[in-house]
Amino acid sequence: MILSRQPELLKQTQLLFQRLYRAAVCMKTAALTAFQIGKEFAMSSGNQLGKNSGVLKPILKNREFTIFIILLFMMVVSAIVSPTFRSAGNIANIFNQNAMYGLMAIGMSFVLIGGGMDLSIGSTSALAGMVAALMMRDFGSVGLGILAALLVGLVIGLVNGLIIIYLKLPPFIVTLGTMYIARSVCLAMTKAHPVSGFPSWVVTVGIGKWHGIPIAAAIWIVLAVAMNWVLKRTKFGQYVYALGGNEKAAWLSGIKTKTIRIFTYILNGLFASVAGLIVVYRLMIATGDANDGYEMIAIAACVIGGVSMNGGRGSVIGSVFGALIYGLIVNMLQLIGVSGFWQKAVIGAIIIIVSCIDSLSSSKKRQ
Amino acid sequence: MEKTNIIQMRGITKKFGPVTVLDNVNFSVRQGEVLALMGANGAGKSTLMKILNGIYTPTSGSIELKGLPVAFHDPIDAFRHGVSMIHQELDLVENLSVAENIYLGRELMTGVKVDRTAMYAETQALLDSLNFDIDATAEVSHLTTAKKQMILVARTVSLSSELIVMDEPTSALSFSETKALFEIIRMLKEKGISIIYISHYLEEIFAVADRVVVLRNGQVVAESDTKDCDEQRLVEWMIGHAVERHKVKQKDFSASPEVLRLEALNQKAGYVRGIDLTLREGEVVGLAGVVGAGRTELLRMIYGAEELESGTVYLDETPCKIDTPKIAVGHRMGFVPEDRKLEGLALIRSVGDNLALPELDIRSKAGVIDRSSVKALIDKIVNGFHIKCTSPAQLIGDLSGGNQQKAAIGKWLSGHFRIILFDQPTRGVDVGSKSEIYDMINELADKKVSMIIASDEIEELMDLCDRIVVLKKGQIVHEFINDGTSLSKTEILEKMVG
Repeated sequence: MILSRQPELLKQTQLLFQRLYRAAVCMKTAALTAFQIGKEFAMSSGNQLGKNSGVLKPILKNREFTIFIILLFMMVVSAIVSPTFRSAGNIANIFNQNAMYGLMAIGMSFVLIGGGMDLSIGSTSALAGMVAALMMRDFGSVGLGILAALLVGLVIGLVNGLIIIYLKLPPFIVTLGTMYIARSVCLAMTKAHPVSGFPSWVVTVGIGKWHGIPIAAAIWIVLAVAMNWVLKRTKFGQYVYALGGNEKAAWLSGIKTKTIRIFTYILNGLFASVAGLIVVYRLMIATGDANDGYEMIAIAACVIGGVSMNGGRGSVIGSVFGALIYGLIVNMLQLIGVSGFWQKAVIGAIIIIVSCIDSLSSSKKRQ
Repeated sequence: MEKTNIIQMRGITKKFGPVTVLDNVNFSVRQGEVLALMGANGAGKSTLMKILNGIYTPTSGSIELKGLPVAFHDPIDAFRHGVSMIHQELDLVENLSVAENIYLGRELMTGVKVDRTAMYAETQALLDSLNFDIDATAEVSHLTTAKKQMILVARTVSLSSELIVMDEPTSALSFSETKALFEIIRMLKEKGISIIYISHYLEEIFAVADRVVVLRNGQVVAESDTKDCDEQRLVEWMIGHAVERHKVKQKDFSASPEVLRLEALNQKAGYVRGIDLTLREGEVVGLAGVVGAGRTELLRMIYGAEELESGTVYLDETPCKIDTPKIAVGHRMGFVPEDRKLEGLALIRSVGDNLALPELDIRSKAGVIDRSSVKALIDKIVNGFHIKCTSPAQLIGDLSGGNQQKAAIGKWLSGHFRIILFDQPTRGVDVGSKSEIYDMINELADKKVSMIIASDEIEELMDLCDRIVVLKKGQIVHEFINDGTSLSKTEILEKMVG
């Protein structure tokens, strides 16, 4: 018996070694490329004010670079382990499926970097999506739906900001409250009946492609790059950093800290609305219990991407990588057939591991 | 008679990677003496004390406690051997009572229950024996800084410490509280307890210490009985060369245009009342006063950071309503707060980000930052004021205290701001940085920038200011013209406390 199976075993072992070798070569190439890019970053020294310009400088900072490498490494490993992963369709899917988390993470980056917290965006996006769905169903107007959805996000963001600033309440509590309120409104509005019956073309925005480029993902990436620019290159963006770095110092330096903070919550509400729209366009149905817990995924994407929960550090691009890492893990676990029950455990472990790497590298620096 | 050494550190060397922080340091403390450990920032004082406390292990060298070799593994190990340290950041649990803090980690128990009654009684007895007027049941957060310090002293005494390290104990204390602390130190000394006293204030050293050891660049450069040396010598040892005292040259401002005038300023819900003050172009006015005299409040009232009940602020003889710092900054006014870590700088941001902050507004077009202009601004400040950093991208929290303070001041010094208010500009910085900050201020005055400086150090005001205004209990009680010769420190002090 054993003898007869030997050639097969040998063949399998050979195959395994071949794969391992290929993996090693890929990793070596990736590491070398990474090293080169890293050197360039080091030369151009990130993206803070007062530094010399470098080609890649506006895009990445050291922390983002680390996370980029982790993402790259995960992609290489995934590509080797699973042939399905390598297909262009799958990669496009990862981008598309995570666009709504990524969009939420954009606004969330601003809130977190400013030293705040917002738990309400999952509910906000559901309510915005629901309002848009009603507009589309009852008035047949997509444009009106978009406007109404953005208005919902703006109002909830503004309310969050005003309460936090003027009643001086902890953001965690305020947004926990608005999270429940928005969710209730969303359910009550339709007595929990799902809403559907939209113009059929909107699904293209949700899952369609234009010249092979997934549209939802394109919206996400374009907005992320634009908002990253806003964060890094505009007065407003720098003030958000200053706010999260030291609110009192920012105020004494002549910055309207209250206004800036309110704006971060409004931005977060608006991006939640955009995410809510994308979800509705994808599913072609709006339900009262939609997008439950998405705020946590957005926070996870930010944290994985290097946004500090204490404020003052991070970037929008980092949150894009964070969302992609999240999506990649979910995708890989599906492809290799790991039970969905374990997905969150893996995500949780990744959050902790990434934070560990971060805290270790920064404490090393401090020594 | 030579007293015995309680602690003897021999040949202590400490390296962090390639950097030698301490180089073959020999250091000893005698029984029952107060030893002042001096040195500029970065001289190695805190590293040496951390080694003594078991926080760091020396690269080489040995420690002997009463003649027996010891090696402390951590601060707990150190205090079990009778060596304890009172840190500058008073490490107390604010929401616990005095007694709970004193017995923290070694609570008195009856079975599994914490015996609060016994703890309160024991603590009260201890506090009374030290003549500290503190209630053992009071919550620590309600107490003043001075009382918190006393609690820490009481804790070290209750741990039967024989050697207490006090790191900058007076940095947050008022004049009278400092005096009270010195009394406590003398009392501890009489009990045979040795004290290592670290402070930037030279006068304190002469008031309280028996002996002084000076560190510079990780080496002991001088050791002397305090009675055998003077301030001048000490400063020279610390920075390695002689310093000339900055002296104000007498200037006449009667012809200079008035830039700022305060008329009958009253603080809202506060005690600062009826302030009239005029500041002319290029003039430096000092605010003297004891802690609680209202100096900080007055500066913040001018800057729009503290609400006014009534009164008028005139800029260039036009009344202006300044009710937020943003408006003040718009009028080209700057403010250096007392506590740079709390209010002056964002420590987790870069040097460049911190320096550029007040001027981002005027260096942006339609909200987009003009990066080359900002870069030029940062380079100008960093180079102009010798802020030592690897690059403007370095985190400001990684700089030495002196350089952080230079940056906290430097962010207002690009030339754009014409009135600058300073609250304790040299607090907690070493003598080297201090002298550089004085240069910065003098240079500004030459450039016709007007300044108001509040400081605890009367000499500082005498060296820098053309006029010194004395505040007492929220009111201006006297005004001195400083001609650089006739004014005496006692005169000012008398007005402050008299």
